[in-house]
Amino acid sequence: MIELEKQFFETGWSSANKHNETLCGDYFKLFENENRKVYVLSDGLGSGVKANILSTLTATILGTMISRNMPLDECVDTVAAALPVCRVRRLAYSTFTVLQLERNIAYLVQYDNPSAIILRKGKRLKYSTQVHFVGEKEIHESRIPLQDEDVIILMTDGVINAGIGKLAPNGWKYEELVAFLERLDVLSMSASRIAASIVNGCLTLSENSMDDDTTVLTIKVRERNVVNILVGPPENKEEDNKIMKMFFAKNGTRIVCGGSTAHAVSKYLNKPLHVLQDSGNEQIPDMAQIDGVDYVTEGIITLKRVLEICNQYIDNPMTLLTLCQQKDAAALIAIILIEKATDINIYFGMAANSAHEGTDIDFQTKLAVIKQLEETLLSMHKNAKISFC
Amino acid sequence: MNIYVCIGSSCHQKSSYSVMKEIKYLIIENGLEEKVNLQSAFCLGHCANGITIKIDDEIVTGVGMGNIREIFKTKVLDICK
Repeated sequence: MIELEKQFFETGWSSANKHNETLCGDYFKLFENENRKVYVLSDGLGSGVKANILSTLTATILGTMISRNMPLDECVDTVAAALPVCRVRRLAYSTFTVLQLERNIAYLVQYDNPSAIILRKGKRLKYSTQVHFVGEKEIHESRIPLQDEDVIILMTDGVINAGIGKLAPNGWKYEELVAFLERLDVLSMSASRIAASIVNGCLTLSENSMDDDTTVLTIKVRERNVVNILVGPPENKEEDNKIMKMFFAKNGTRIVCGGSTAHAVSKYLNKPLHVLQDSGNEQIPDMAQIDGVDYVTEGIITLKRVLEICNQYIDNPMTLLTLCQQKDAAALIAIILIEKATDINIYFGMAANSAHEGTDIDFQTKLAVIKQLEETLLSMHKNAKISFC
Repeated sequence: MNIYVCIGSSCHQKSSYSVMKEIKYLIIENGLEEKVNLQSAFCLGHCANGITIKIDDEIVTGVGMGNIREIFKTKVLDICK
């Protein structure tokens, strides 16, 4: 088992809206504190605004209450009482799956969504559930001890209904979905790639036009992977060596961004800087290589593009599937941040780059890009931190 | 002879990528593939003076699509011939 402090629950998700709907009727939210993570995925009755309100309310109420240790029955009752009744159907209804992760125990509470799938060593793990009723609601509860590399997949019924009347007359049957997942090499895939692959399958079966909102949420138990990024030389020249020493003492992947910074690193390590010819394109400059550093890139232009790719990913995680077709520094760094990194430390040098005097590259833009990148990484549910130096 | 084209942020923004392509083309056009080695380089430290290239040890700044042919002729072609 991975030691607890090195363990990370990686979160991935993907969604496809019912055709012509701009709002998704499915909603998921993560509630996190030091000891545990509580995910809630909910599918609201109907589609569009109404469904969106129902699922948002359900996920938010349940997650807030469960993460604060309220008794389950009370949480479910509160949701039932709070949901507005649909005038058309005279019903207040929203499904939910709650996944609580605490140490190595997964606690699942499921109501009317397709059963969560757990993959262990790439094969489906059958787990037992206890059924109990809260009012008229049949609630399934399970407690599952987790192992390294386990993958937990939560979904709404859009997945198993995908393709009805189209390429899969009976929908994507649960057993066929399991078989599909067992054929994937999930051990080498990130949580986000697994989620995107499932939703991509749904879209294919539905000929790219979903008849229901479809959401997949995946969690993978994995070892932390730290990525350290050095951007810009430190404010005080004398600090150069101190910062470098600290940067190179850290474990994990090392990325150096920026020409001046790369020159400083090359000098510090006493290793030559080689530009990797033809690794760039008209938009993104070439990368370089210095022994002892994993990736060396140009600064602001590359970082701006990394941020752009990451934001596109947040808007629609399925963009991940086509990202590897772009072969430049920005796409490469973005893939590392999205799929490999769990903890990202950014060391941001505050030096006014004398090389940029009289040019239109300003410090404020660079700072803003880095700050936005931190926020974006946090909303991917990763640990991200900027240290100013 | 070695030619380095700066691809630092500032030069890249001023489209040093096109300058690089143009030089590549000029080398082929003049049959200098054997004599001239063209490479991109990280920031050469003259950001404020326009696109920078380095021809052996000489720094040339303010390079652009408008003057690259002229620069190539005097600093590369005439010398290599």
